[in-house]
Amino acid sequence: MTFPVDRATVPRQARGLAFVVLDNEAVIYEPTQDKLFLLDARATLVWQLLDGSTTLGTTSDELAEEFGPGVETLWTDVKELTSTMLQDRLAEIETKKS
Amino acid sequence: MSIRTESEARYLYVPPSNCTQAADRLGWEDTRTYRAGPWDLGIRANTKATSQIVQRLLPDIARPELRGASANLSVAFDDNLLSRGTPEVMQLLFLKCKPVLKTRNPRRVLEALLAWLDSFEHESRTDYVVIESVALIHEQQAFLVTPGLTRAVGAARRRLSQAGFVAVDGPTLLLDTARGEIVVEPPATAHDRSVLAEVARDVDPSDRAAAVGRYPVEAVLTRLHQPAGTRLGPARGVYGLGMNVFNRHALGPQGALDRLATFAQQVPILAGGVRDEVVDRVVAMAGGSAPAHTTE
Repeated sequence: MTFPVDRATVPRQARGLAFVVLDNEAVIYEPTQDKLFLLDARATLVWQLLDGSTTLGTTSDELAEEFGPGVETLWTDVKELTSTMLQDRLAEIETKKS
Repeated sequence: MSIRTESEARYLYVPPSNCTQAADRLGWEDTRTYRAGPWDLGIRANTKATSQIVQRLLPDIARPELRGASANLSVAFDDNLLSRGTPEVMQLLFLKCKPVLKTRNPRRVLEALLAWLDSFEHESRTDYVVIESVALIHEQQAFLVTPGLTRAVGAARRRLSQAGFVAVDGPTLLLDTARGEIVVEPPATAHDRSVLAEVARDVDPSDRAAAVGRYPVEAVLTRLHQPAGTRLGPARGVYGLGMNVFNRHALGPQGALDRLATFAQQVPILAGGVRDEVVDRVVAMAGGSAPAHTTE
């Protein structure tokens, strides 16, 4: 299953996770799969910024401003990482009630 | 303790497989039920004499009213164990259908049996992180090898023994994460100590398990895709250890990770490499002839 995201997507860290961040790398326990995930420094930074209120586009722009690489390259990374995190249930998107 | 009926029994069913069929062919006398933690386990014995030894060892946890247990653990002693001096053949302990201990020391088999029975209580412990790993003790220092690398250790038992290593028998280790130590406790399962003394024999001193005590952990070798001996960052160390935690539910997932983080920041956690590299590394570190690690 793929999780398409775009710049307007507002994901957040999934609820119910346990995690530690050591030397900028996260180890996350996802209980429904009884599985541990290891995130490198780049993925950890993106995951930490998934706050449920900021769009991915804004997050990507802020990272580009801070770290300097081309906005398009960074957006591709953020998009792919977030999609993977949604697939792995490390992130989720609030379903809005109509 | 109240008597349970068959319908109330908590068995751990061992489904038939090629492995169990092969073990069954070795020939067994009987399987009797004993209480361990919340479970009613079957302990199988190869002869009437062995069965009587086990029954006399564990009278307080015997559940003779329950007869439906699978063979969760099996003890195979030399038929003439009690009439001979030093046993010449291997005495065996099986978990389900796989031998988990081969030794000429029958007392060690019974003590390992107690350690296995104890482990069924370990899931609910909150004082230590209980981890499924192998611990090799050398001159009061412990080297941990996580699952995925333990086959190499099993194949090198003789070499490790000759190099002065002893193992902690049992499926789980108690890890004092704050102090960076392995804790080997005396058996908690109720048993008759006189039976241990009765089967004790003078055997090769290297054929023994680690004594009760605390052992500082010198290094952990785990299976991650890094060159052998690479020291892993603390997060990778937590990751390498984290899936082997046996009492995660009791500690809570966050509590388990926090404790492992404390441990990983004080004890070197290394990529173990493959096959012989694992044992080479442990032997060299214990002998001081190898660099402890390279940097990630």
